[in-house]
Amino acid sequence: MRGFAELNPAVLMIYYLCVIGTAMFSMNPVIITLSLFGSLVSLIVLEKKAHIKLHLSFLLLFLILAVINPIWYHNGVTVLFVVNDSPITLEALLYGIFAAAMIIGILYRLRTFTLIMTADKLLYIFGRLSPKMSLILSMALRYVPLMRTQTLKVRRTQKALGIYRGDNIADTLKGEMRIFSIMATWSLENGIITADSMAARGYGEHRRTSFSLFHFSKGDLIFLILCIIPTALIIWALAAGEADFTFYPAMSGINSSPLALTCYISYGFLSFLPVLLEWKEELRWKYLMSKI
Amino acid sequence: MKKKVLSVLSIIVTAALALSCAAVASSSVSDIAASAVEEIIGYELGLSGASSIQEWIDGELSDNAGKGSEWFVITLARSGKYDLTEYLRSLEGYIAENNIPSATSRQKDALTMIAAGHESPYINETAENSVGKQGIMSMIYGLHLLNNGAECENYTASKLVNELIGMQYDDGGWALMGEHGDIDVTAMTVQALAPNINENKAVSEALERAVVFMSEKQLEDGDYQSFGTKNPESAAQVLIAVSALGIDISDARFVKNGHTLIDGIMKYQLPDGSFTHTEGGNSNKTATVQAFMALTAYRLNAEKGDRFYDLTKSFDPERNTERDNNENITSEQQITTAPETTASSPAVTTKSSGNDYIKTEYGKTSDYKIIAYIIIGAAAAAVCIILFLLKKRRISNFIAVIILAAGAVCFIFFTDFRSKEEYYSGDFPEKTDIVGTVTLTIRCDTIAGKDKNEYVPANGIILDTKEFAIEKGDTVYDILTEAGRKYGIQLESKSGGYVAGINYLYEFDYGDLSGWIYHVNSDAPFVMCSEYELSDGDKIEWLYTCELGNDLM
Repeated sequence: MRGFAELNPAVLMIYYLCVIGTAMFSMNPVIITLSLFGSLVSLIVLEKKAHIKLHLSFLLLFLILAVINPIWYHNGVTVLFVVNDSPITLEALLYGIFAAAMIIGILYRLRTFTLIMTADKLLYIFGRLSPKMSLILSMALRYVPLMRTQTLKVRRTQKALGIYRGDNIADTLKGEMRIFSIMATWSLENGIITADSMAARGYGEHRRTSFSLFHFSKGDLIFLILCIIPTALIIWALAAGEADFTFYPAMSGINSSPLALTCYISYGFLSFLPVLLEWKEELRWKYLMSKI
Repeated sequence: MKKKVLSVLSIIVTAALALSCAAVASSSVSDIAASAVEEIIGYELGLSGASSIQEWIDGELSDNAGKGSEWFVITLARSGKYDLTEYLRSLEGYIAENNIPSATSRQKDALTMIAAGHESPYINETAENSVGKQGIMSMIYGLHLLNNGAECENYTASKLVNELIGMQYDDGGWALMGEHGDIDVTAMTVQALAPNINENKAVSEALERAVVFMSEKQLEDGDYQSFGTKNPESAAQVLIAVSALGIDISDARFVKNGHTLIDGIMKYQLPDGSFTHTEGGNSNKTATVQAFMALTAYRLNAEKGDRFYDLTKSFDPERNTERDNNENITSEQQITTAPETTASSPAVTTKSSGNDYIKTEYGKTSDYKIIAYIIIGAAAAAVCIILFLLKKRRISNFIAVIILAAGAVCFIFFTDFRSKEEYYSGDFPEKTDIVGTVTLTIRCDTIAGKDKNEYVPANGIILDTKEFAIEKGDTVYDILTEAGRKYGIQLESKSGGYVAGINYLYEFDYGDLSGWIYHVNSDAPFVMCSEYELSDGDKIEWLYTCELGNDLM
């Protein structure tokens, strides 16, 4: 079997649908925690970089999302304290924390998705389904890195023009606003130019052929089975209500019936599957190296 | 015509029957009523801390003169045994100091004066300026006033009687609104009309139809239900009404399944002597005072052949001989005005004075606020120093820091953090400028028993009728918030006035059209609850609907 990134794109796509789809439809704290840590470890293992800035920004987002819920929603029997006439409850706070954890978990998972599913893989999958859709998808995926590099260019140019002053917060903010406005104008214009250019080249008219080396191996089949079986178990448990968890007005306990436990274990396995696969490959590599 | 003759005949026959068997049948029932009255008095004395009835009158009842003790005083006055001087002085003082906006409240006060044997120009004045000013209730009370000798230019007793008869519905009942008779309003109307029964045929026929209506509405246990809730007050009103007509308790029309009206009332008595509004509920002032009145009314009729509302009789024994010509006064209130005395209603009694409240509240909240201001100031100063040391010395940097600090100070200033215990302690700002009282009920009958939600009470009553004092400008939302604090009911409101949830029951919990709506005096206003300003005597109900309010009408 090969590493996670080398699997067949269709199999990877199914894996992501399974792991994100099940995480989005459950508010069970166990599943959410497994989803968050599974995706976080997956990202670290797959990317092999620290990304301190990304984690910090996600942490900030997490805190904001977690705090918003108890401020706006006052359901729950355990009142912590009262602000003006609004009780802040433990249940609303925990709901906010787990909802934020679910969102952050999915964001991390999507981060690994963009890392693994490169444009050629997406074209491989969607090019057969709809040429227009694959064109839009690849353009959309390209958009974010393109914006980033362009922003960097504009900022450097502005700096070179001497518009920034290092000792002035207000000026810095004004400069950032200017860059934002420049970028908005540029991206609109760029979008039109790109669309015209692509149309001139005949994109989107007919299905385009593309060369790819992807094939469906035995390893892909095993991986597919490993991801379909836990998903089926999870869906069974969710449909039976075994993995239900209610926050309001009082929190229900975490279900620990056999089916619920099966569901948690299945989700944990599914969530950490890329990590397990990478570790397995690493062990095998080391084993083979040791034999030389 | 034949029908009319028959109905008149039947009422005469039953009245005769009732009189003939009254002495026999009622002796044991009379004992029950007498002991229940004793128990109620015992309960009330215990509540007020008085050792005798006279002490109770001079103490608590006088303190609440004009503010809810009228019905107790009227009932006690009927015995003629007590000295009401202290109470009357207090009532006069209250009337002189307050401009009472509610017509029915003024009438109630005037009736109390008559019952206490007090002659005051206020009685005629009230009759003059209140009759018909507040719907059917002010006509009923007004008729009681006129029945008891009050005079007024616009109305005579017979004119009022005719108007009231004209308001009778086809089913024989009366109501505040709508197309169908309401048991309480019907009974109260009968109480006022009863003294005029011999005036003309139309009156006796109307009363006969009303008796049939009241008889048909009686339930298996001898009690009644009002707005879908079984309660003792309706039965109490009917008992006063039938006593006023001289119908005996054992009359077949008011015995259902072997249960009389008194059985229907006694069913709600608690071991401590007080009464509940609903079966299995807590003791309720309205229910207790109305049971007290009804049992007294029954005894007056059974033992002396008196009508409860012949108020003047308490003091003028000679008039007893000409009672057929005399009129009685009575009234009930449960629909429009709740006769709760202040003592048991925490909404009205607040012990601390306004100044105390402000002092303690300020002391508590300012503690943490001052610390917060100091921290913000220190942080801002620290940031400024760091900026200075880092040589980022542009003035705009420091302005930005100051703006941020000012924002934080504003946030602390406009928020008020309190602990759960403090918020729900019932320690509420004392209302200084009270202009009246309103009642509040929170019910979810529409979903009671629908599922196993533990926050839906079996009887659908989340908050039984409670009385609240209002200041000028108080809205329905203010009172709901106050109730939430006092009785620890969870509330969810969005952007100051849109109520999304009460007691953990939220809108959309029971379908797309479900949610909370409010009624004031059984009517759904068309404004947000934070914009509806209350007036004295308003009856607020918060109700859970599953069909945008259509299931509540």
